[in-house]
Amino acid sequence: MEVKIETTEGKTLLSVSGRLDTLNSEEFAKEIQPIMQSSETIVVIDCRELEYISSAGLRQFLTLLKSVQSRGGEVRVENMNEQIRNIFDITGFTTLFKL
Amino acid sequence: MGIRGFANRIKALFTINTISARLSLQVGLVATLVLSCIVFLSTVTSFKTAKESSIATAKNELTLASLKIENILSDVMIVLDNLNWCVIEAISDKENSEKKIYDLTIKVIQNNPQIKGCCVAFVPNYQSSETNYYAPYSYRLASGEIESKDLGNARYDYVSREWYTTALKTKKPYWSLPYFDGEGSDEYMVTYVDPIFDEEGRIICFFTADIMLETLTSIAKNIKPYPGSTFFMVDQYANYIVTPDETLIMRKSSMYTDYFRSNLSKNLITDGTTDIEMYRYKSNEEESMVMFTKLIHHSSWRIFIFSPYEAIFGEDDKMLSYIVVVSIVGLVIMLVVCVYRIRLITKPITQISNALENIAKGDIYSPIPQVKAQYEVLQLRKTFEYMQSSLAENIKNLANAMKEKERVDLELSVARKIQKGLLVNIESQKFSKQSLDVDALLIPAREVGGDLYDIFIQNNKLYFSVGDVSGKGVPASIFMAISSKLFRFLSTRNSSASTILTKLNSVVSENNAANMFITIFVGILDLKTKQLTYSNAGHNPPILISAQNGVSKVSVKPNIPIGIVENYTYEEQEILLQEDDTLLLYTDGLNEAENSKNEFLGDKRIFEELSKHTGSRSSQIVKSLHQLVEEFTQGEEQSDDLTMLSIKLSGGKQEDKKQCLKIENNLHELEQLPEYIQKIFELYSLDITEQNRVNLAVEEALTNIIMYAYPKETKGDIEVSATYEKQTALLKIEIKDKGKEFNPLQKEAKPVEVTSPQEVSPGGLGIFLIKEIMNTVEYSRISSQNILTMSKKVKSK
Repeated sequence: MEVKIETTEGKTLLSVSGRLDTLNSEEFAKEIQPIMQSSETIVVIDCRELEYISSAGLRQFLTLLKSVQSRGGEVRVENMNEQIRNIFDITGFTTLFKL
Repeated sequence: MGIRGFANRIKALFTINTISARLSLQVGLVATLVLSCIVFLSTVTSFKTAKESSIATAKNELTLASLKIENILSDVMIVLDNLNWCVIEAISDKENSEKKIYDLTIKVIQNNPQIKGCCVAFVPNYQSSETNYYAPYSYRLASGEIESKDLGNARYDYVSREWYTTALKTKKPYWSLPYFDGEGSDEYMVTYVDPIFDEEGRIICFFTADIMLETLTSIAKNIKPYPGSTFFMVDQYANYIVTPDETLIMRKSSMYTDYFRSNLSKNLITDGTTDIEMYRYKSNEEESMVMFTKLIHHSSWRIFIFSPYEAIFGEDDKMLSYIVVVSIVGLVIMLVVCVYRIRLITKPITQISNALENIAKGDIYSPIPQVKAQYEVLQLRKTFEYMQSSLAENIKNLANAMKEKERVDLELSVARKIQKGLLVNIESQKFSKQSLDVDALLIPAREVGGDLYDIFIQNNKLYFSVGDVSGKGVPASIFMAISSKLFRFLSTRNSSASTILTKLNSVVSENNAANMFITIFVGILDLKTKQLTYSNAGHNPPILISAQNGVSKVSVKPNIPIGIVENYTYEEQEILLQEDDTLLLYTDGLNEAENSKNEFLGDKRIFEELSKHTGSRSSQIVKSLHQLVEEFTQGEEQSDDLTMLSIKLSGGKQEDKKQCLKIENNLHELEQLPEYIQKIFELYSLDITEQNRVNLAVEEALTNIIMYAYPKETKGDIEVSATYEKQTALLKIEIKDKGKEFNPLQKEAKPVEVTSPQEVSPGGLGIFLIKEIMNTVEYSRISSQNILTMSKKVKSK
């Protein structure tokens, strides 16, 4: 699992690649600390390289969403593959993230 | 044909991409070039000649005129020159000088008809210092009589006359300017003045002779080299001496001044053979004029011939234009004829070509039109027609052959179906119930083949065989059909391998006109004792794959193939098989599979592959060997029928073996999960698009169990096992743990609510996912174990 964070012109681009499962969800949480603590209002999560996500991973996304929304911002999730999208659909995360 | 049609015709004529246009253009260009050169050269030369001859007239006239004039002048000059001595003599004779002088002048006139007057004009202060005008003069009257008088006595002031003053000044013989002689003749005269010198070089007197200007002008009257041309003579002061208009005599001539003016262009006669000059200029009336001019010797006079340019060269120019016009007309005619003739040839070619296009488009019988053509083109048409008919014939034949082939193909595909039907349907036999794992593969090289196999259970014995009829295709398939049925018949009635083969051979050898033979391996396995009795008839020995002893070939006595020798007794052999042993029978379509380099697959490669599958199921073995062949042959045409029959003795009465994963209750152990799920999917050849989801469901379940099943700080085991039932396509996964009684499904599972993300409970999401992904999820507690069973319908390849 690899995380890449880029901030340009008030937009934070978070790229996640590999598997986001129960094992490395802690590591993911650490990686996204800078975003959690910043005051950025637009966060885009690029899931092009994301192969697999478990409920632990979903929870991390949720935490991120809560944090950004609380400072009046928005989180967008982009480039999900079919399977990830399916997970998002059945868990209702699709509606949550307004996709 | 309307304007547009005509215009199109012209346009077509000029399109350069036709032979006719190109050829016409090229021929036209070359012809134009050649013709132009010829015309140009001949015109230039003849023009030059014509010009020369035109000018020649003028030159000749001018030369003639000047000669005549010069003659007249020189005649007079010679006369006086010769009589110089007389004058001197007469002067010296003091007594008779007067008479002698008068006599002399009379004699001059008498002897020279053209001389009108003769005078000896004395320089007044020669003889004495007194001004003494004395000029004895004789002249001819109109009647012809000669009269004499002294000009010095008359009111004739000869001293101031032009001829006197000029000659006096120049001290040279001199022709005077023309003057009007009112006295004698009422005519214009010209006088030759010859100074007579004494011994000291002083001029004594002037010996003069007068001639009428008329004698000179009469010459001029005859000079008319060209219509409209005029002749002039002019003196050194540019006064007219001879002119067609007599009123102009002694008037200033503009031409003379013109001659020296720089307006005139260069002298056009440049050959240096003559002193005649020729100039071309425009007159005041803008008419193109030509001027010829020559200097008269003895005097400083100049003669001119003026002529309109037209008069001299008009004919030449006309001739030139005629030549040019005729040439152009000739060229045009030639071009037109050329184009026409060429088109006459190319038109039929185009017609033929169009007809051929129709044929090429598919209308084979489209007729090639009769064309107006000759020789080669006509021959071309004939040849094409011939080609057309033979083409049509060929196509008809081809169509028939195609129809025939289709019929045959259809029959072959039916035969293939029949042949397939002859083979045992492995799955329907339910070998697994007898703890046997069987798989088979038969791919004919053509639509039908000569390989066969059979396998069935009777009286707790497994009868099986693999055979190969010599050859392939339809002939082999007929034999295959017979042998296949025959084998079944015999083996259901005989329980000895050797008997089966011996009887099979005797039937097949009879009536075997085509000398077909079969190689075959027959085996009878006692399912209880696992003893295998077998007999081989020239076939490749089967391969034995055992977990303990690896991969090896079964030792067989080859005997001889079936169908060769009647009455042959086949020997049989025995071996004892072990649990989990796999027997692989095959035909040489496997080991003799050829690649593009004509290499065989060979036993070595097969053994290498099989050694990786010592624990694999039959389906796996067959599949991987098939893949090996495909990769090796790489698209090459299949050279022989390929057959494989794999029989594995699976231990116990178990169903398909379970695959297990044992982990401790530690989240890190989840690392092993993806590999395990992958193995399951590979093992059962499951649809990999479901792999991630199944993985997710299991991961969520395990996470829950790891976190909650065992008390904190307690180590515990969790066992995951998976089975797959092909018939129902059901993948069943069981998770067992020995922890406290804990049903993860009790947790409320719900998806995330839209309105309030805050209300999502962490664990519930996982359970929700499991329930959504798997078809059924069940929990049970049996003998202190939590058993979570989940199953999902997954397609298998």
